Parts: sequence; structure tokens; C-alpha cells
Amino acid sequence: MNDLIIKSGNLVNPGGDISGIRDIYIKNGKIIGIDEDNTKLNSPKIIDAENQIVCPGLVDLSVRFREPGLEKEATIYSESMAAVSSGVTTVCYMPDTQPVIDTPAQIKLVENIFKDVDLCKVKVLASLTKNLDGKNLSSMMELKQAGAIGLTNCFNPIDSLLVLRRAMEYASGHNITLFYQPHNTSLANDGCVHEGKISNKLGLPGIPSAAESIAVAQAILLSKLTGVKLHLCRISCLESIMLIRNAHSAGIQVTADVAIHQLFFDESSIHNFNSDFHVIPPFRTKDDLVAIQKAIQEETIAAICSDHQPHNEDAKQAPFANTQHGIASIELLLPLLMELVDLGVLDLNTAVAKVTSNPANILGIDSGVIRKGSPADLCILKKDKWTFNNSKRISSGMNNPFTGKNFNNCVDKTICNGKIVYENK
Amino acid sequence: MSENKEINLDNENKNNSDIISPKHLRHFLDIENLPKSLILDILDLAESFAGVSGQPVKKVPLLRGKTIVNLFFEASTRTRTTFELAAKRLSADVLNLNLDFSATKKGETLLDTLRNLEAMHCDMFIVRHPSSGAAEFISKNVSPNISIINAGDGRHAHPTQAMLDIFTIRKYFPDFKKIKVAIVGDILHSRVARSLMHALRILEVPDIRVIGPKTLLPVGVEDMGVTPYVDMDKGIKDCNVVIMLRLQTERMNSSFIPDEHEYYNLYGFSPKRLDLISKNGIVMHPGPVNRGVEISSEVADGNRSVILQQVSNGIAVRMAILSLSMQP
Repeated sequence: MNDLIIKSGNLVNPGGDISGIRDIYIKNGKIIGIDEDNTKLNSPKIIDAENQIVCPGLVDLSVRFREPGLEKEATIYSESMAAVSSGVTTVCYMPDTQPVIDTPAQIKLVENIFKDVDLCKVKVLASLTKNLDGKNLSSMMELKQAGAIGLTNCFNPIDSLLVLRRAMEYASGHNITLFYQPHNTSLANDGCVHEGKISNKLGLPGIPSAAESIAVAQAILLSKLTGVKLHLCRISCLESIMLIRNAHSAGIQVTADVAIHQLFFDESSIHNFNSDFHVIPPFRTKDDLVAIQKAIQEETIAAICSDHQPHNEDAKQAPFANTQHGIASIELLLPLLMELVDLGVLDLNTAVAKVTSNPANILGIDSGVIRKGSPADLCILKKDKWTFNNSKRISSGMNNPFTGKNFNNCVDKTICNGKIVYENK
Repeated sequence: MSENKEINLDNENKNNSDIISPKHLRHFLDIENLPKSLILDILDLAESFAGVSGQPVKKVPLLRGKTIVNLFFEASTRTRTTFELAAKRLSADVLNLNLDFSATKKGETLLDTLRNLEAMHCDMFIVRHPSSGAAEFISKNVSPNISIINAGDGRHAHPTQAMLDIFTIRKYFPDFKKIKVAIVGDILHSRVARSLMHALRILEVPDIRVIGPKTLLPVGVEDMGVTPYVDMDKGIKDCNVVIMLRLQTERMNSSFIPDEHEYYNLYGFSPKRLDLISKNGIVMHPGPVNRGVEISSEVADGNRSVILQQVSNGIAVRMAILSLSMQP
């Protein structure tokens, strides 16, 4: 591995003390100095980052790379390539693979594949219940000891509040973070779009906002009861945001994230049954969109993730309700984020914090910050007009509603553990 | 944010993409985007076909040599039969496929089923499917020489039923701008209601009402240009046309109503409710009728009921739609 000097880049480093035009010195995968004339480097490769932004490598709180079990849709290799092309250097791996990640051996398996692929780092979220059944707790502490960064039940319901309470209590005692996707399946009632204008117009079964916000309220109250470290995944409606704000002002420690696509679309995007817009939680109203955009300007929603869910072509080839939900857009995470900056929704520093230091803090890992001694996980970003289309696509996932969209920014290089893992050519 | 516009370029020209020329349709999927003039043209053409059924030889040679497939993924008697009769009276060859029992049960995907039927060189698919948007999905994936007629997709649309309903209404009330129309019952699960609301709005009916318990009225139904009522007596007051809907218990997966007895008391068309509607008012029902649940036998079989006329009119209206939609 070459030693590296990244010269004259504009450091955007919201989680750290140092920013502005700086030189970064990298040796053995670590940042050994910033702006110091460091002679310890051994014939370093020099990267000229003048007029470019240098930020910490992105930490993505939710990805599905489909391996093991669904390699026909995507693999850890194919999706890691897509991830690093967007500056992502750490991904949180969701446990709903086949088989489900609910044993230490499953965690090791995934970690080993990532090591072999050697592009980005992985933090595994293991299953909260055995086989995601929502009833029987998995061996939570064993999973933590095996490296699980937290536990989640993904989209799968935990119908009994008593089971959820016990899971939280147990997790709280062992300092395990619970990643909870708020979704009351009984109220969602097999819906596939937001209940409102669009469900009415298209005659598709709707999911009311209350299916999410009621689950948010329950989880917040149980986290207060049990003291668990709770992270709410994929918030989509303004009622949930109000509840999180109230929790924060009552001193309840709860964090939340939103999927990047929720910052771009509302329910009207589905108007002609376009199944590329089939997501859970569904795209909601304009008011919800505005509320989410406001909530990410504050600390209410601390992180933005890709919620990457690649599918092959068949998955979307059916009438809307029969299609698989999810969007494969990890490779656009940073370009989309920069678009939010260009549109004035976020300032640059806040935008970068939402995908670097904030998610790293939620996970409790040494990442997402540029500082002396930290792993050299970095992303170099440049201004460049380009169009995302199928010939540019890196992910195996065909399901991307942003196809055809123009961007003003692109990732020039991604560095993970001091190694250049992506270069824009 | 104006994002949607930029990203969905292919969605922008959706309006009327199913219309090739003022007198020719590419597909017949939905009423929502049809111009008023085309709807009236279809009604006029149907009027001319209505005479065919009364002749000793009930056939015209318009679609001779064409093959039409009734592709039904959901059970149907009335709709499938009237489509079949309409196609046969236009001299087309008709194939009936009830797919809910065959291919799909063996794991074949919808697209593969379509590809196989395309390989048999058919000219038109008349499609009924339990999923909303199925007809639109099929129309996007079928080869360009094949027309798709939507015979009902999930809760979304049943445009030929709405056409035959307005055809029937016009027989009694030629001026749509002067009537009050009420649709009563299970609006939420009804594709007929959705298509009717569009048709009546396009025809500029000034007072369209939907009546039912809140559990069966879709959230935001006002956006369709209609006035919701929970009280049936108020809702049907002075209406010229009352369209009763079937209670679709097979689509109900949770408690929408307490029981059928209470439902009949609140929303059933009992004989005494005939006094509330306009003196010349008519009662309609798309069928099949649940007697004693949404309508009493006395009303269904009475002189204000036009339920069987709707069925006969269905043939003429479907003949008009088939002939306008067949590719040359």
C-alpha cells in the first residue's frame, strides 16, 4: 500500500476540529498528520485535490447486498463497487439475508466476504429475534460479542409489545443499540402506497401515516421505560417527526434516520403505477416531504442513509402491488446529497455530517471524522456535470427511479483504510 | 420540490397516450384521461350498435378475421359474457381464458403468460386482474400490434362498466349537466365507482355524491370532485340516478362494517327510500346483486330499476369500444 498525501483539498469535516484547505498525510492506512511536513512517508503518492472537497468516507446505516442467499440479485462485490463509487467506506448490513443473520457464524461469514472483496468496511446488524420471527429473542449478547454493531428486526413485525419491551430491556442491560423500523403491520394492512390521494386515485391499498407514527410512539415510550439505546430507521411522516422532537425535548435519547429518496419524492411520483417508486415506508404527502427536509436541517433526524435494496429486473415486472419494494441508489447517495446542498435544503457541513460523523456516532465507531490517528477513510468530491443512466450504473440493482437524472457533483476518489478503492475515470 | 418533473420524463406525456386519433384508441385502460368528445362518440357509436341485437342476424362484419382473447385472472360472469357476445357480434374469433385456475397457479409469471399468448398471434386482450394497475402494466409490456381493454383491475378501474352506466343514464337523462347522481356503498373497494366518478366529472354532472360508512369511503375522496355523505337519506335526496354497489366482502380483510343487518338498515335501498329520490329517478346496480344486503328485491325488480337494461346495454357499449380499439 502506497503512502498518500492529499494536497490542498477543501476539508469538510463536521465531526472534527480541522477544516478548510489542508494537506492530509496517510501511512499504513491511518491519517498520521494534517498540514504537518511529515517526512516519515515512504515515496508517497500525491493526490492533488485543489478545488475539490475532501470529506470523511460515508457511513451508510442501511444496505442490503443480498449475499448470502440472493446472489442472483446482487453480491457483496457488485454492491461494494457501487458503494465506494459514492464515497461510502462503511456500510451497515441488514440481517434479512437467506439465511437470516442470527448466529455468530453468519456474522463471520459476511465479514469474511467483505474482507475478501476488500473495498469497504462492514458493520453487521444482526437479527433481534430468531429468524426474524418477532417472537423469540436471538442470542443477543453472543451476536454482540461476535461483532454485531446493533440488532434489528428489519421490516418484520414484533407484534407483541411485551416481546419488544423484553428485547429492549435485555439490550439495555448489555448496552446494545436497537435499530427499529417503525411499522405497525396491522394498520398497514397489506398496503403498498401512502393512504391518501394516490391510494384513492389508483385504487391501491394504502398505508396510513399512523402505521408508522404509532409504532414510533410505542418505541419511544418503551425506550424510556427500559433505557435502551434506540435508533428509529427510515422515518417518513411528519407525525413521527413531531414525536421524535417531543422525545428530545423530554430528554429521551433516541436517534433517527431517513432514506435519501424520501427527501426527493412524494406520493404523486407513483401516478402511473411506476413500480420504481414502490418503497416501504411509502412516499407520503408534500407536507411530509417538507417536514422531513426541515427535520434533517435540525438534529431531529440525525442521519441520511441509502436504504440500498437492489433487485433484478423481474422484481419490478408485475402490477404495482405485486412488485418488490425498494430502491437501489447507493451509488447516488453523495451526488443526491450534494443536490440537496445545491437546492438549499442543507448547508454543506450539515449535509456531510448526516452521512459521516452522525451515523458513526449512532453506531459508536471510530469513523466519519478526519483526525490524526484515525483510519484513512476519505472521499474526494469534484464539480462535474453528468447524467446517471444504465450505462453508468455499477450496482446490479435495476430498480432506480433516478435513472436519467442530471448531477452537478461526482465522487473523484474514495479511500478506505488508506487504499484508493475508487477512482473516477 | 420540482424533482418529479425532471425525473419522470416518460410520465409527462401520459395523458391520452392511449388515444391514436379522435376516432381511434390504442388501448382502453381508464376513463380518467379521455376527452369528453370521445366519450360521447363512444356512446353514439354504441347507440348504432344497439340495433344489431334486435335484428334476426345479430352480426356485423367489422372485426372479421380478428382474434380476441378474454384474459380473466379473476372470476366474472356478466362482464366476460357480454364482452364475448360483443366480440362475436362484431364477427371476431373469441378465446376465453380463466387464468386464476391454470397457468398462474403453476408459477408462470404474468409476463410469460402474455408472451405465450402473443406467440399465438392474437389481436386484442380483454383483461381482468385482481391487482390495480395490471391492465396498464400489460399494455406497457405487450407487443405494439395488440390492444388491451381493461375489464377491471383491482380497485382501480372498470371503464367499460362506467361507459355502459352512463350510456344507460343518457337514455333517461340526455342532459348530463342537469342531473344529480349518487353512488352508494363500498366506494373504497370499487373500481366501478372510481371509473364512474371520472366519467361523471368529465361529462360535467354538477352534483356527484358518494354515500357510505366512513370505513368504505376512501380517504380524500373529495379530490375526485364528489361530495361524500355518511347519511344515505340525505345523500340520495332528490337524486335522478342512484347507483348501488355490491358489498365486496371478498376484498374486505378487516372489520369495515358491524354486520349486514345494520348495513342494510343504513345503506340498503329499501322500498321506502324510493320516496326520497327524484320522481323520475332510476336505480342502478353493476351486479352481481346481493339481495337484502345492499338492495331489496322489491326495488331491484321494480319499475325504477334499470339493472337488466344495464346488462343489455353492456353489449352495445362494448361493441363500440372493441371496434374503436382494434388496430387496423
